[in-house]
Formats: sequence, C-alpha cells, structure tokens
Amino acid sequence: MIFTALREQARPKEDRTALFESLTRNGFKQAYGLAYRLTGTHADAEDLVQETFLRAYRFFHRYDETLPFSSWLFRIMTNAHIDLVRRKGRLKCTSLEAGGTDGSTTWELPDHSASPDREMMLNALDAPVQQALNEMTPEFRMAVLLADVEGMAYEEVAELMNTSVGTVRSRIHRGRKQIRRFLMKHSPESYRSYCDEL
Amino acid sequence: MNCKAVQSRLSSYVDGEVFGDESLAIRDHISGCCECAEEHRSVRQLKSLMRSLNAPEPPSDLGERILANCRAAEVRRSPRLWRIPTWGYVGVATASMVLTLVVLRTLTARGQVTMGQGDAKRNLSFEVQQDRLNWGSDPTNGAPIISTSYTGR
Repeated sequence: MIFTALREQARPKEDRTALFESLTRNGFKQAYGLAYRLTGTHADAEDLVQETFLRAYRFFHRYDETLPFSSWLFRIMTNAHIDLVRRKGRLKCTSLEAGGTDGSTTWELPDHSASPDREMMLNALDAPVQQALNEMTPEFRMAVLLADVEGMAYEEVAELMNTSVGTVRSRIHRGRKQIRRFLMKHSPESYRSYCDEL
Repeated sequence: MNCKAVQSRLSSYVDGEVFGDESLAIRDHISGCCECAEEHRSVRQLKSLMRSLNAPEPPSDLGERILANCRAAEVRRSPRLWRIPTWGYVGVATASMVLTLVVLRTLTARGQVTMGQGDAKRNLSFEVQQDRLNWGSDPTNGAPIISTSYTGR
C-alpha cells in the first residue's frame, strides 16, 4: 500500500488526472448500472455515482493501477451507498413478507405473463426484482448484486465489503431466497413463465 | 449430507463456490432427491434472471458531469495557503528563523543577568562546593552535580 502510494505520488499530477479521466469515461456506465440496482431510481443512482466518483477522485493516490478499477470503485460505492441510505434514514427496511399479509400494504406491480417473448418477460420482471431488491438491507442487496449482476467471486465480494466469505455466502443465499419469495408472491405468472422458458 | 445441509449450500454450489468432497456430496444428493433437485433448479433460474436483467442506461453526459464535479470539488477543497507562490514560502520561512533567533538571543541575555544578581542562595559555585562536601570528589567526575541530600536553601 505504501509503495503504491509512493509510486502514485511519483507520477506527474497531469498523468494521474488523465488516468482518472480515462477510467471514469470507461467505467461510469457500469457504475451507473450497479448504482441503479442499489438505489432503485435514476435520480438516486446519479447521486450515488457522483458521490462515488468524487470519493474516488479524492483518494485516487491510493488506487493501485495493477488491480481492476471497477473493484476499487465498487468498494467505494458500497460505503457511499450505506452512508447515503443512513443519511436518508432508509436503513429500516420493511419485511418482504409484510406486503399483503395484513392488508396494510399492497404491491402494485405489472404482471405481463401473457407475452411469450423472453425479452418482454424480462422487462415485466424488472420492476418486481427491483422492488424486491429495494426491500432488502443494503448489505444483502450489495452482496447479491455483486455476485449475480457483476459476476464476482465470493472472496472478491468479501474483500470488497470488508467481511468474511461465510457472511457473503449467507447474505447471497438468504438474499436470493427473499427475491424468489417476493416474485412468487407478487408476480407469480411472469416468474413462472420466465422459468418455464429456460 | 441431509436435505437441510444441501439446501443451505445450494446458492454457493450454483455459483461454483463449493469444492472437493462437499461438491461431490451435494451432486450425489441432488441426483437422488426430488425436493433438493427442484430447489437447485429454482436457484439456477433466479441466478439466470438476475444475470439477464437489462443494464439501465445512464444519461449520455453523465461522464463529463462527473469529471466537472470532481474538478469543481478540487478547486473548492484547495485552501488559500496552497496558492501562495514558492517565494512566499521562502519569505515566511526566513522571517520565522529571524524571529526565532531574536527571541532566543533576548532570552539568553536575560538569563545571564539574573544568574549573577538574583537569588544568591542558588549560586552555582556554592552548589559545586556543597556537592564536593557531599560526595567527597569532583562532581564533574561522574557523580551527579546536584545531590539528593542537598539542603542549600
């Protein structure tokens, strides 16, 4: 870490700035994709991406060029996301099981199961999946997204989230169960149609 | 391995995160257990769905807006001190050194004056004499100059 910092300090500032700009232009789309799945809205996704890149810029001297920029960026995004959620006071999540059981909550989600087209089915399931993700705690949501959407190994996710592989294993297992339960409850036909197509 | 143990590891198994004997044991169990085979299929289906979700498209100018935001933040963070030119640092350093020297010289001069005039009881030659009496030797020869038994006051 020290050597990385020294090497980075030794580079001319213009080079480091140019490198950051290049990495930003190449990586902001992927970062936005993850940010959107984490936050659930375009406005919040943009806030999160801006905050993440701002922190990355501030601490860019600590970035080791030999490692993937996306992993380093996602680590920053994990912390930024948890900070933003806490600031907005949305860490308290409602249980996925709460919807509809006592009649107090109804999930209004489209169910386009009539369409045989796979792309249409995916579109129909997009909102329910996002709704299920929104109802999870940030830690569970991040673990599932990094493993499933970003395709990261558990060890990589654990390192990125500063936790153990066992915890990641448990979060992904339980997180997926929650999503599936939610889909079976609120979009059963769309989900069954999608599964039958596989 | 029983059904409960297998089902708790199915997510890891589907992700290729279970190795060796454990992986073989799960595979054997699934091939002979309908309930766990169904659960295995469900996990795979959900994983497939998650991987197939469309990536949301960001606004086209987001990249440039991020960079503009970073540049603006850097300007805001830079304190005025960092904008002083190099000769400014040299001037400040020289002035500090001169001031330090003047203060040191003044304090030293005052110290010499008070040593000769002030409290005669704490006279240095008296202390050395007293030490010689206490230790029976030259105090500069290794023994402490101010002995613990000194009661010169």
